[in-house]
Amino acid sequence: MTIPDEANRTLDCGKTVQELADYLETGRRPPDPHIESCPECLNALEALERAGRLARDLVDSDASRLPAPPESWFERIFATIHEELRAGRSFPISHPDPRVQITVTEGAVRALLRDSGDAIDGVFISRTEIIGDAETLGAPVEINLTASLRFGIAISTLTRALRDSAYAALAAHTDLHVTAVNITVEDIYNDTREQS
Amino acid sequence: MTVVSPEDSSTLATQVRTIPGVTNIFTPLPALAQLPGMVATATGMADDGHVADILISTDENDITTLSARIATAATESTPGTARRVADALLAQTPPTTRVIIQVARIR
Repeated sequence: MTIPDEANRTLDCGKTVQELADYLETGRRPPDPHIESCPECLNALEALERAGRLARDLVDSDASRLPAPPESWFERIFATIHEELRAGRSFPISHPDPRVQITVTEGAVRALLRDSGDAIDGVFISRTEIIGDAETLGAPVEINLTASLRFGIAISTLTRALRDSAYAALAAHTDLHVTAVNITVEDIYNDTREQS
Repeated sequence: MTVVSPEDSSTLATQVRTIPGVTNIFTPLPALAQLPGMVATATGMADDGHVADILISTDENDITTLSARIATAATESTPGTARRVADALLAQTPPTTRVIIQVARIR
């Protein structure tokens, strides 16, 4: 798996996306005690696994009708994974006792948005953004999702499902006051394997 | 239990792992427990040199803080899970104890 140089910058824990990609290529063998017990690494590994799976699916598919996505498409995704899955900001979760401070990391929330979007058949999330003062409880925030969609399914159907999924995931797992989920479709990819 | 000592860390961690919705506990980041003015006097360092899963620290005013970094199940409400963890820790500790919970992964 080739990833751009910029992805060799380290995550908060000191690991690089390149190291994680290399670890994936070995089948996670032998198990790396740090990676297997580090939330940032585990979040990044799963995003890398999904991107790699999509890449393999596209290579395996009959891509005669539309061109396969360019290498730069995957490179952008890998670079974005590095940027997004650092722990980042801390978003508060309310608790009635003033002695308690609960937060969820920005990296965990962005990984959640990726998970929930990628779970929709025909959707691959390439970028997530959480815009606004999300570190203040109750402050309005907007979610920007950039996605690649599979050719052959109505864009309106997929974007509606993606928006609903994002709202539901954030309502279930955060105290964010989400005022909008904005979706940008940047690519239509061709995967005829499942249609044949 | 009414007093928290570094030796209590593994016991508390074991209890936290049994709370519905908790799927993992990670070693807390040092910064997680470093509130303004806090001087950590107990790091929860285990005998084998590994930092414990729940960091127990005490500041200059003898206020104890428990810090935990957890993963939650996507099938459960994360705020609900995190609140249950906080409540469980509060129930095990003196009334002046502070609790910091960071959710680092939802899966």
